[in-house]
Amino acid sequence: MAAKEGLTVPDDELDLNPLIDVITMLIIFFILGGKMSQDVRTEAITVPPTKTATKLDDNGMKRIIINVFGNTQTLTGVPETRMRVGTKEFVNKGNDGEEAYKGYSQLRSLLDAAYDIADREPDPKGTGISLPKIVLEIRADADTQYRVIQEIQQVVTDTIDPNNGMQAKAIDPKTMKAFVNINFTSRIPGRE
Amino acid sequence: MSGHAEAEDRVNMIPLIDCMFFLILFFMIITKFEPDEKAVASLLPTDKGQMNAKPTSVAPVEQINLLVYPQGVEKGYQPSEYRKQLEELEKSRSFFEIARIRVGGRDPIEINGLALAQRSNNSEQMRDNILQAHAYIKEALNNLEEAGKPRKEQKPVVISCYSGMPWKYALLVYDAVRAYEAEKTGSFNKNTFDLLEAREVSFAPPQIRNFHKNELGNELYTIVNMR
Repeated sequence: MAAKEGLTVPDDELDLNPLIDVITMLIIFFILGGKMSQDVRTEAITVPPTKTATKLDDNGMKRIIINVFGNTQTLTGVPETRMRVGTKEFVNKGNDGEEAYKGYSQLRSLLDAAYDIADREPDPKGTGISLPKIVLEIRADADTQYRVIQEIQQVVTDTIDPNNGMQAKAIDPKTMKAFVNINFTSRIPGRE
Repeated sequence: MSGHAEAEDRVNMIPLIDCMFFLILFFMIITKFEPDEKAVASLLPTDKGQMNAKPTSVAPVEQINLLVYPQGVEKGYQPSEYRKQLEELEKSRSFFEIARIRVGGRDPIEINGLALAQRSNNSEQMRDNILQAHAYIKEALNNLEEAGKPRKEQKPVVISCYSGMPWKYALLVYDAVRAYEAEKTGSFNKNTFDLLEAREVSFAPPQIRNFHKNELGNELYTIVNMR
C-alpha cells in the first residue's frame, strides 16, 4: 500500500522542465532569426531576381527606399499605382487627369524636401547640376508595369512635371533637383 | 513540519513561465523576417538623353537594341492594328506571363516568366528563365563584339521594353547585359557603383510621356519594328 502511494505522488506533479526548455528555445529563435518591424523592407513586395545583384552599400550616402506595389487593375477596372516611402503612401488612380499623377506629385514634393536638406556635390560630368548625396532605391514588385518604373525614374530625375500632366520640364541645371544614384532592389535566385 | 519545509523548498515556476510566454508573444508580434535583398545599380547619365541633351556629333550613334514585348506580336502591322492586337492580348491570361526578347534583328526567344514573380526564391523554373535569357543575350553580344576595342568603346546597349510589360522582364535583360559585361571586364566589383568600366547599358527614354491608351499601338509598333 505504501509502495502504491509512493508511485502515485510524482504523477500528480506536472513536470514543467520540458515546457520551459521549449519556451526558451522559441525565445532564442525569435531573437536570432528576426528583425524589428520598423524595417521598410518588410513591405509585402516580391522583387524580381537577378544574378548580378550586389549587397546594398551606400558608400557614405543616405538611402531612400521607394516601395512600389504591383500596378494592378482593380475590381472597378481603374488601374492604381501605390508607392510608399517610410510611412507615407502615394497613390495614382486611373489613366488620365489629376488623380492619375497625384501620387507622383506628392512623391516629388517629398524628394524636393529631401534634396533641400541633403549634402550635395557638383555633377562630375560638368553639367552644372548639383547632385544630392542620396541613393534612391526603387523597390518594385516584379509584376509592376514597366511604365510605372519609367515614370518614377523621370520624376526622381526631375525631367517631368507631375503637376503639369507629366509634360517634359525645361532643363535648367540651376533649379533642377535631380537624383541620379538609383538602385533597383533585387534578390539572388537560390537563396530563401 | 517536514512536509511544510518540503513545500517551501520547491521553486514556484508559474511566474517564470508567465514571463516567458509574454516574451514569446512580444517577439512574435514585433518580429518580421527580412528577405535576402540586394540591389542592381543604375547610374543615370546626366550629360545626355532626356536629362541634358548636348549633341556633339551629327553622325547617328550605333547601338545595340535589346527589345522586350509581348508574346504573339509580329512585325509588319500598322499602329492601329497593334492596338487591336493589344486589346486581344489583354483579354488573354498569357499577356503578362510570356515575353518575347530580341537583340537587334535576330530571332527572338520567349520567356515564360511566371516564376520570376514567385515568392519562393528557389524554383528551378526561375533559374531556367534567368539562364535562358542570359545565354541568348550573351551569344548575341558575343557576335556583335568589336574586337580590339576597350569595353567603354563597345556599342552601347539600349533596352526598349514595351511599357505594359511587367518590370521583371526589363530587369532580367538588364541583368543579362551586366552579367556579360562583368564576365568581359574580368573583375566584378561588389559595390554599388560597379561596372563603371563596362560599356554603356541604359533603358530607352519612354515613348509615352503622359500616358494615354491610344498611344500604346504606336509604342508597340516602334519597338517591334526596331532592329
